[in-house]
Amino acid sequence: MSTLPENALSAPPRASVHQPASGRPPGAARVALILLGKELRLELRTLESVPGMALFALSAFVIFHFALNRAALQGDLAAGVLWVTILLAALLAINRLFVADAQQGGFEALALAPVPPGAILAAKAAALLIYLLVLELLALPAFALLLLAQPLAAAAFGVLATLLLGDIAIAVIGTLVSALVIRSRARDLLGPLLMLPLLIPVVIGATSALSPLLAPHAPDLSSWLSATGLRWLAVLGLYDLLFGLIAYALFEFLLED
Amino acid sequence: MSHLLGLIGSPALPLGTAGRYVAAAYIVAFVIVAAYVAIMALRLRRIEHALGELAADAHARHDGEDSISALTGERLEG
Amino acid sequence: MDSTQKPPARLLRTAWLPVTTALMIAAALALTFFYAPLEAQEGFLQKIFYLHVPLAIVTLCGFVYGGLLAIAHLRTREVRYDVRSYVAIHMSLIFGVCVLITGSIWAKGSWGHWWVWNEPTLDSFLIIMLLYCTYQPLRFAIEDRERQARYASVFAITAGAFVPMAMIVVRLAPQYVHPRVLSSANNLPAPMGATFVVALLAFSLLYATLWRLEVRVKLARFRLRALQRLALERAQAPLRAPLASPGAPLLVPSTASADRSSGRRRQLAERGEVIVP
Repeated sequence: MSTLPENALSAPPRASVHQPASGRPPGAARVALILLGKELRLELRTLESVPGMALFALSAFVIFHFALNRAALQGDLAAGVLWVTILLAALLAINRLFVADAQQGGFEALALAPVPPGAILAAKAAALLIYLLVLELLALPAFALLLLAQPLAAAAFGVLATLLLGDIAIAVIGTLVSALVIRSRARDLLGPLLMLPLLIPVVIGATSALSPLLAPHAPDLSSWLSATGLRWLAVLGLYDLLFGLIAYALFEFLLED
Repeated sequence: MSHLLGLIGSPALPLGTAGRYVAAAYIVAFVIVAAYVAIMALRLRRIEHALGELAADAHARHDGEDSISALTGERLEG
Repeated sequence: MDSTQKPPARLLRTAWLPVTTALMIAAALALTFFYAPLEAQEGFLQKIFYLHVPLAIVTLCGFVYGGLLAIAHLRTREVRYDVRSYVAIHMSLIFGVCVLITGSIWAKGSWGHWWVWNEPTLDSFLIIMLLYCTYQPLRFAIEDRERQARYASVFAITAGAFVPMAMIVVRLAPQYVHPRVLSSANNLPAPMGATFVVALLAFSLLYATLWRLEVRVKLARFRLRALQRLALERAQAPLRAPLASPGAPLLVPSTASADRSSGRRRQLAERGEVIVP
């Protein structure tokens, strides 16, 4: 935590040490990659987000087992439990996404460097996406092992595609909302309150896509796609795209001070 | 009598419990809007009151320097 | 501008909107209860339709309008657009509460439950309201005035774009496969359609009237606070440098807590009834 200001300031020169000192600022994509590297290095050193999310997801599965009093879930119920767990675990990471920047001078450092807002957005959203993917790498096998009625492997592609598109939405919206509430007094409360309604369409899309895949007689890929899968993947993809554009257009206004 | 009333309100006479629900819906909407207008009127009155005080102070300044400077002293102490 | 106009012209300028609104609402109510025929299935209960659906449409348009005004605010950075955007969303929240309550009453009368999950428009409306309920808490949790306006505008634009997206996605959800019975403004018989249009116009005018009222109240309060600050500064100036600014106006501030009692004492002092130290 306390290493952030030094980290944030020293990361760009260290990463671009191979480049000749031409004085020309690096392009936006390169800046985004450098910032993403900073985020991931920070996470690797502090381990603040991902282990907590994974542990939370595991606890949530156990809680769902006892609260629903079921040994195995399938269909709608399985899809719902999986998505609620992912969503709530994501809130943990979203809540602390900008905390270090706000409290320890990261925003000031970014303001001093010629960093385009889009690069910050992309880096933060990509970091969040990676956290979510790592979380699912750990949580999905646990879910299949603990709660799912039938093996997951048959429906793997559909499940992964749905999760990926849903994760992108969570990452983009999470980054925007996290930056939106970071300067307010009650950010720990406001963040989730803003996030959840914005993500209800994602939950609708993702659970609608997943529930046939987790049903007892899961359809094969092509019949799933032609029945409902493709439509919901398209809805999720469009939602990602639209919110990506909105976040890209508005993010600069959140970084002005 | 009821027959007469029926003729007057003929196309839209409350029928059974439906009338209560419709009345409730319209009354709720009306009350909420009325409450909002009342709050706005209250705010307007507060603004007018404060404006009146400001104007009175501005006028008082022209009346006499002594009372005013004493007054400002009093107000700033308090 | 207003002060240079003659009183009748001013009255006309400010009064035409409320008067038209009152007339239109009276007309809408009259048409609803004395002109529109009883609906075959719902009977008299369907009269809620002429209240609930126009209110819902006006509410959603108001949310989107707030987003458009927020775009204007971010482009121009003028405070008045922020005030307008805030008031648009505030009005829509109030109308939205009316929509949820009237919808709930309608559901109780029609289906016997206060809330049902088979009406996608009502459900997406609830989601949108849940989002907008965080607008004011977010806004007033940010201290700095300029930043508050900017962040609120970002929220207003995001949420305004969310409104149509939520409506569409919720409607696609698999639980709404059954055909919808109610609240569809399509294929209404002509008298019902005309009543609906008049009601929609009436509630739009009501929204516009109240929006304008609140914008004016808010702007008046801003001006008042600015005046009060100015008065406070001028009142303090003579104490700090009495000789340097002999002509400084001695406007006495009437801010904060001291007001009422000391205002009364001042009046008494002016009449010589109380000796002020």
